[in-house]
Amino acid sequence: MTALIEPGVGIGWRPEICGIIDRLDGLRFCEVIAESLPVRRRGVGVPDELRSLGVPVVPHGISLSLGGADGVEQHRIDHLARCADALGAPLVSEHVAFVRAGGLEAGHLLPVPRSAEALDVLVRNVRRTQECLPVPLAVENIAALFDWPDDEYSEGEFLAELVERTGVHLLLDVANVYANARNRGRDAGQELRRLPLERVAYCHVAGGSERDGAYHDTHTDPVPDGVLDLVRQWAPEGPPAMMLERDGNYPPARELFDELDAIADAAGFDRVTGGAVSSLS
Amino acid sequence: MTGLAERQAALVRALVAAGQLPEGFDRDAIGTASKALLRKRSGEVGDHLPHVRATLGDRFFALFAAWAEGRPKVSTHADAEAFTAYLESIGELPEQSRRRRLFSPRRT
Repeated sequence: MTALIEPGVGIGWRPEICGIIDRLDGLRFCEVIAESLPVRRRGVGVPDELRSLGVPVVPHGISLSLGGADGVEQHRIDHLARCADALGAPLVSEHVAFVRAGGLEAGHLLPVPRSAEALDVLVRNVRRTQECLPVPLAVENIAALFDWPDDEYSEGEFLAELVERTGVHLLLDVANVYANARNRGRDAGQELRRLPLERVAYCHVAGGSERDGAYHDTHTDPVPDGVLDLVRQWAPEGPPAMMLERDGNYPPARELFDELDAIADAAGFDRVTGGAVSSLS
Repeated sequence: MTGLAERQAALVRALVAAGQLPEGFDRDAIGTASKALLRKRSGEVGDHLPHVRATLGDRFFALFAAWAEGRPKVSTHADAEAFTAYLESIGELPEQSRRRRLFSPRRT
């Protein structure tokens, strides 16, 4: 099977750092927050700075609520489909999570219980979304600051079952595996190996920080070595494409390039910053 | 409504609308998650209102948290409008800031 995204280094495209990203002549792919693309009379608008990169771009949804027992809203699926069309995307990604319930917005991704009932809800929502999308769907493991009391499956079993029943791909967030393991006193490497890694289309790598006694996957801090270690452990097997996610507190270009280089080195990929670094000096 | 729908709704109420902690959840962990959601919400409103964040400085989060108590999020845009009006009503912002209060929304 050809990979949906060729292994290599990518980055989450954000308007705040589009000038820096534009210098990365070796960049393999990008991801853009689907909800950040404006609705136009026909389809959605794609910023020139993103389109001109000439790399595959994956629309990444954050508000579909695939794990929501209230069901997914058609207009949100339609927006993802229009994003995929406008970008000529190889796939679309979303989360194994819910973000609203009973008419209230949580404001961020919440974990679903790893139960048979929640799995049925996810399968139903994922299938419906897949039917409406022009390209394959990948779903991402989230960082959860709490667990449901009625978890019946491990995360690996739960995701494997979801993949089996829907044929969905995975977007593996390495930093979320690290965060969940760290907050529960588990070995992150073991947790990673228990996931259905053969279905991973691409990976997220991000930084976080410790606060209120827990590690938070903030995307506003440098990538910790523990996250890069997981990538290093995976490197001998030829890992999937990896991208840096940064969502604020943007560092100077040079630091961002160092982060991208660290990911490339850990994964055994070519660095994507060669021309960009020399353009700074 | 299935059992799961009700339980998800109760959990979201506990996290963002000062609802009762549903049975079986870890109180501290839910408290930490609730704070994290409030910080994220505050950050998004701050991105929407850079001039307000600059005016309030370190006090932005505390003022936002006080205002947000009992007011669950509808959208960042609505948060930004209502929070600005609140700040004006308590004299933390001059009235004229209303005219240029909204920065174009980046995401919902």
